[in-house]
Amino acid sequence: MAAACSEVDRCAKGDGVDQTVELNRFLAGIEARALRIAEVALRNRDDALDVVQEAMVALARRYGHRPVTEWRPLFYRILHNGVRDCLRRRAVRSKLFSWLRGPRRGDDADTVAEDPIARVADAAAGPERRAIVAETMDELGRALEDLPARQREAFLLRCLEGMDVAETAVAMRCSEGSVKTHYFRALEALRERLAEAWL
Amino acid sequence: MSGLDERNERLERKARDAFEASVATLDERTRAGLRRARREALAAAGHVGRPAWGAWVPAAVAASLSILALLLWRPGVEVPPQVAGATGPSEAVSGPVELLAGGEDLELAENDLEFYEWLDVNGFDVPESDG
Repeated sequence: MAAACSEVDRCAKGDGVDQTVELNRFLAGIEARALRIAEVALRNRDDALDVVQEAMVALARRYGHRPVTEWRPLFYRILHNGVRDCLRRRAVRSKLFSWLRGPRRGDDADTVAEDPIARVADAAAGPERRAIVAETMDELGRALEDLPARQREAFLLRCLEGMDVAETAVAMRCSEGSVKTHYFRALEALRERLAEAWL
Repeated sequence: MSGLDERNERLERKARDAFEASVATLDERTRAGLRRARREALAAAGHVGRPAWGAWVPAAVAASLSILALLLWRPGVEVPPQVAGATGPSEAVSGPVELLAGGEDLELAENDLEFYEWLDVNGFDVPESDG
């Protein structure tokens, strides 16, 4: 982080210095969380990284000049649009391949990343703890997979990212009332799906 | 607090705890990928504030004006004779040089320049000014 900041300080010149430093600080603070949110929604690390990268670039290009306080909901709006596009592309690809090659076992292999290097997490966390976290997140990901997109987004933004209702409404481009409804329904559905394992 | 609220809270807490732990235990390779993505975004931020074609607009306008000035000002070109019936330079609008020298309204002259040239080329008399 410090290295990245000094690099930005060196590169940024002129009027955009403060903005570039601010943008770097904002993205550095949000990137890991954004990746995990995209990963839960997509259940694939590489796809999640692509979507986060596209969201970062789009935010910088389109909204970099906007006030810093507006960045978070705007960033998540772009991110969720990216997630939806990715899921749509995947559905089309899946239909196309299943039509081309007929029924086959293990078709869900392309939606779940099993990269052994990627799974080497911070050693300090301990293997048991990591395994429990990974399992819990996997359960959550599977439960979220079946939810309608809007409910899933409301849950990810409100519960995991910790946004308030107003921010979530900006990110989802809907009214605050709709956010509450989507979130309530998401909780209802998740309670049912995760009842045995979680509650 | 109702049983439903309690179960909702338990679910939210468990999801949040697992999420925060998963963020904290993100592997180094993925973190490096995120740093690369951030650098790319910051490079893109250098272009913020103006569309890509925006920077060319002033240059294009300046170039157009220069070309127009060169077309209008041609040293050594003989000034054509005045149009018959014209009584002064302001009325004898037979070419752009006279037009500029005569102090006519430039906007009007630009609009009508092609028309006057067409008249001249086709041998018509240029109408006298209303004023």
